[in-house]
Amino acid sequence: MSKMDDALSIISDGLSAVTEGCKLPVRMKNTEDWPKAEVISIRQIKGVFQYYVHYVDYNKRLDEWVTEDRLDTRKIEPPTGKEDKSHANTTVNTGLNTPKRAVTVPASGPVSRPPSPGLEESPIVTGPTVLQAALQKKTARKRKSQSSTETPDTPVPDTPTLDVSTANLNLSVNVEKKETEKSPSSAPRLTGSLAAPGTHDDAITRMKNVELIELGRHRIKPWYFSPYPQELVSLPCIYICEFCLKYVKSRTCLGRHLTKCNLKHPPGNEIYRKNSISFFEIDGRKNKIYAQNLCLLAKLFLDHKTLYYDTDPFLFYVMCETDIKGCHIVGYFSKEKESSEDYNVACILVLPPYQRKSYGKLLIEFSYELSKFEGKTGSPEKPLSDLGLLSYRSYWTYAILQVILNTKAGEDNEAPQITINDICEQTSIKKEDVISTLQSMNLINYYKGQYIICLQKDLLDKYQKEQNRRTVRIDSRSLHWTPKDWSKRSK
Amino acid sequence: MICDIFFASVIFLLFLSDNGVGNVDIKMLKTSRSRALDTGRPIPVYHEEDVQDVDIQPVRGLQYVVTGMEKAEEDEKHLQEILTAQVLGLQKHQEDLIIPTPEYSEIVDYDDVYKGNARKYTQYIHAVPFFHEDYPVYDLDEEDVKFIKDEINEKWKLELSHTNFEQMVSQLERNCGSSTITLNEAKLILKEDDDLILLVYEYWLKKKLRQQHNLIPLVRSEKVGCNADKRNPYVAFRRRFEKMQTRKNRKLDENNYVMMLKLRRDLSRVVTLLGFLKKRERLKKAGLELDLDVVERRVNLTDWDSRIINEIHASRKYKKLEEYARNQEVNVASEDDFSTVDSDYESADEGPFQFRRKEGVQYLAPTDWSENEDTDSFPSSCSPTDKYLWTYVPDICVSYARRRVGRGGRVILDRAPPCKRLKPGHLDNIFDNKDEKDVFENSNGERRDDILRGIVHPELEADLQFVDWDPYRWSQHDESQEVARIMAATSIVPACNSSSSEIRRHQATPPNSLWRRQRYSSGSMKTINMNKVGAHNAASALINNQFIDLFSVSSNNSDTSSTNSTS
Repeated sequence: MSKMDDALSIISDGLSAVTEGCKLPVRMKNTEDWPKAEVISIRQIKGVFQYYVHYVDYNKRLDEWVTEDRLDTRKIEPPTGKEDKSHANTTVNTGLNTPKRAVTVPASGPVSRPPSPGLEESPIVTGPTVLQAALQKKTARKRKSQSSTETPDTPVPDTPTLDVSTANLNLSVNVEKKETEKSPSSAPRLTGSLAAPGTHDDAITRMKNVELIELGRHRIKPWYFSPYPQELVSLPCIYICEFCLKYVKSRTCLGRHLTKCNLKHPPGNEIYRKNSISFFEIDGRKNKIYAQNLCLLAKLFLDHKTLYYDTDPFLFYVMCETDIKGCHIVGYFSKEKESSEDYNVACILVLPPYQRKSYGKLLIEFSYELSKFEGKTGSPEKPLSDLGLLSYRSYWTYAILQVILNTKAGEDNEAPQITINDICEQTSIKKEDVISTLQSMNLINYYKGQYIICLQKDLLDKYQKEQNRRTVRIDSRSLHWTPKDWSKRSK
Repeated sequence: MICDIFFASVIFLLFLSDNGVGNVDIKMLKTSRSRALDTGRPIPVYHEEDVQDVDIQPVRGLQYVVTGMEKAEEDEKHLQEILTAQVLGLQKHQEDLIIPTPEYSEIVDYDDVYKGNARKYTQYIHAVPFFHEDYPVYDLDEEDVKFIKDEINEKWKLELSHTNFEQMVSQLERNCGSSTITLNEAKLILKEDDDLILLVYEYWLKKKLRQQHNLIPLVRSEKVGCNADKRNPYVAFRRRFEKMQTRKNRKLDENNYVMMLKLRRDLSRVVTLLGFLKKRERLKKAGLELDLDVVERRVNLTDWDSRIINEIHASRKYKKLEEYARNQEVNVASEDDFSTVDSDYESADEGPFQFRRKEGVQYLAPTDWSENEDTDSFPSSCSPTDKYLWTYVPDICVSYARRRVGRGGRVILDRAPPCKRLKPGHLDNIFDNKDEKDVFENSNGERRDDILRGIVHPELEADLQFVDWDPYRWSQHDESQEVARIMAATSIVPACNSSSSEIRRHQATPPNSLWRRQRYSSGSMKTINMNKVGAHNAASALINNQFIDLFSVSSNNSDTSSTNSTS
């Protein structure tokens, strides 16, 4: 009997060793892979523990809540000291229930932990960290069951050798330090649409907060955090009007809204129309509500997008597919009215239901078409996402190939010649992007003391295939648009 | 060669990412030294099959390809698989390789949710300046539908459409700042029936308290001065308070912009003034036309001896006077309000003359003279400071006034309200009645005439031939003097020596003391027409503004005034 109990307790200890910040193999959804994942948060719903995990070396959009059966508790890597510290700090800084936690440390310390003998013993035990974590987890659970809250927090792991009061002191010092460190740089830069690296590292923004959205015909699982109103975030689904992008809490509300909302297309000027594809231009200053709604929606699918500041300095180009019901949003890109760094795109997104259907290339093509009208080259704002990189690389490759293949051979059957500047001019792609594309596709080589462009056969085959696949292209004759010089306007 | 160096620096940018070891993107190329890539130099294009030379060397110099991604994400497995496949040319696999994304699904009842079709535009859609959200922002939920049906319609037998309910809730929400509005405020805001307001208000308040948040979900925006909001991830779309970085040549634009704003403001003032001018001229014209009309009618009636017109005047005069007296009453009342300690006197357009209470200064109510005033013993029995005395200054008889010493030794004379400027005992029967409004309404016409002329001491009347000394008509009677009028019971009478700018004090002269009327030829004195303006405001206005030059008087004048003051 007692052996059985021991065995059980070991297993449960294994589970309870799972703390925030630790890493362990987790079975990925719909696969049989067990990649290593970091536990970011733990919550308890109806007595069942759930763990929010981030798969190391996989994109955050695959992060998910998992139950214990998908955890491999045999190979737990405890949170490393440094990470642990920073993690504790960030949660202290941004966590919603920080004050509570700060209070619980001194309160629980003397009660749950044995006095000095225990404290002295613990360093002697080998491999103490797991044990300590398990111990703390246990006490944490006890506390939780007592207070029966569902807050997904764990106690701040402080070293048991430390006196309680100093531990507490340490913590508060840390908090202060962190705050003073952050305060000067607390307001991000005013230009651009993407967050500087490291700004989205705290526990809240690392986690998806919206369960599901319903937008027009589709129900979509969000990929990332978005600051929708907190009262909506807790709901099983946020309903979004597909025309004005207003968010409501239920189908009934959506129905009521639709009886009042007379919008059937984005509230801007249609600047492009060919067949069923239309583009609308929306000024982020004039149409604040729509622009904000669009940004909130886009944030669900763009990791590095920042919504810190208002939408005033941006233009939004919304791509729509039109049918009898109206103009359905397919994707969009935003663009700074004045870019100091030659960016012609700030954020770019094709909504998930329309992805892998060449809409992304169409959006990119349109953005370069605008740059052609402006007579300058441009580049997307960095950092790119993985999907962004693949889309842009692919677009660049075929756009450059098209220009190269269209150059006429010289007289006397000489090889046709082209300068990189020519390519930039004809495609509006920025020079650096042209060079990096030529390189990554192995197009540019050094031959007999000079550079040559060498076209491989399989690349040309792929190019042909791609040309056949992309039936819908941007037709510059359908673009009714004149660039504005925003520097001469009052903003 | 210089050109080459330049482009070498461009390419150098591509070196910067050095952390991508292990990435397929990196081509560690060990080749002989090659020239930097010149973007202006034509590059020949060959097909693979045309170049069989083994001499083809990959490019030195361009070692790393910048991905433009965040470092931590570059290593992600799905991406790396695809990039590897691309470079290695594993064509078959490439089609299958995708970056997995979270799923989505289609709803089946789309047509039930989005009813109705869009109209077809043949032209490109041009946005209406802004689609005004004239519909209520609040959207009804299931609970509200039930409430309207059960409570309002059935229990209370009231009618309320869904849209009206939404309108009410939207307005209640909109008017909620940091604190929830009260029922009385709600009644002011909403235009519905009181019962309905009560029902909806209570329902709304209960729901709001229960949910602990706004009923209209809104993205949180930054509260000014709230430090916690700076880092709160749920706060979005903060206003860009910091000035945009402007280049030097933009500074000028900025200044120009400010100047344009000023110009715009000034011009809009001009427009307002011109509007007033236009109105005035139109009124003038209407007056002239009326005069002409009157003359023509009189001609038609052959009223050569002005008999008819006089009759009409006589009958109309009293009406006018009555009106005037009433207005006077109102003015006085408001003045008194103004002086009382805790009144909230505010007037919209007085600009610099606006009366502003200073902190820490106690404002006393005006002396209530009407009660202690003993008209018979007046004025000798009381001190001159808190009594309205019979006063005159060199050229103008001010009638009853109270003297104060203002800033810089100026003498400020507070005129007694018009109905009080009466000859003592003259209208005893009227003064018995304390309610002044009633006095005017009940007394007969002739008395009223007296009341209104009572600005001059009766003994003077004959002598002075101020037959109709009405302060509001003064300038018509004596145009040699520039006299503006003070509608309120306050006049400023500065007298100063032009050479030294010293301001002399006038002694108020009691009415029954000996006096001679001295008429001085050129005392240019001005009282200022400033309705509802406090005396000290007027004084400061005099000092600060162009009125200051009106203080200057000729030197002989100062002599006479000084003799006068000592008399």
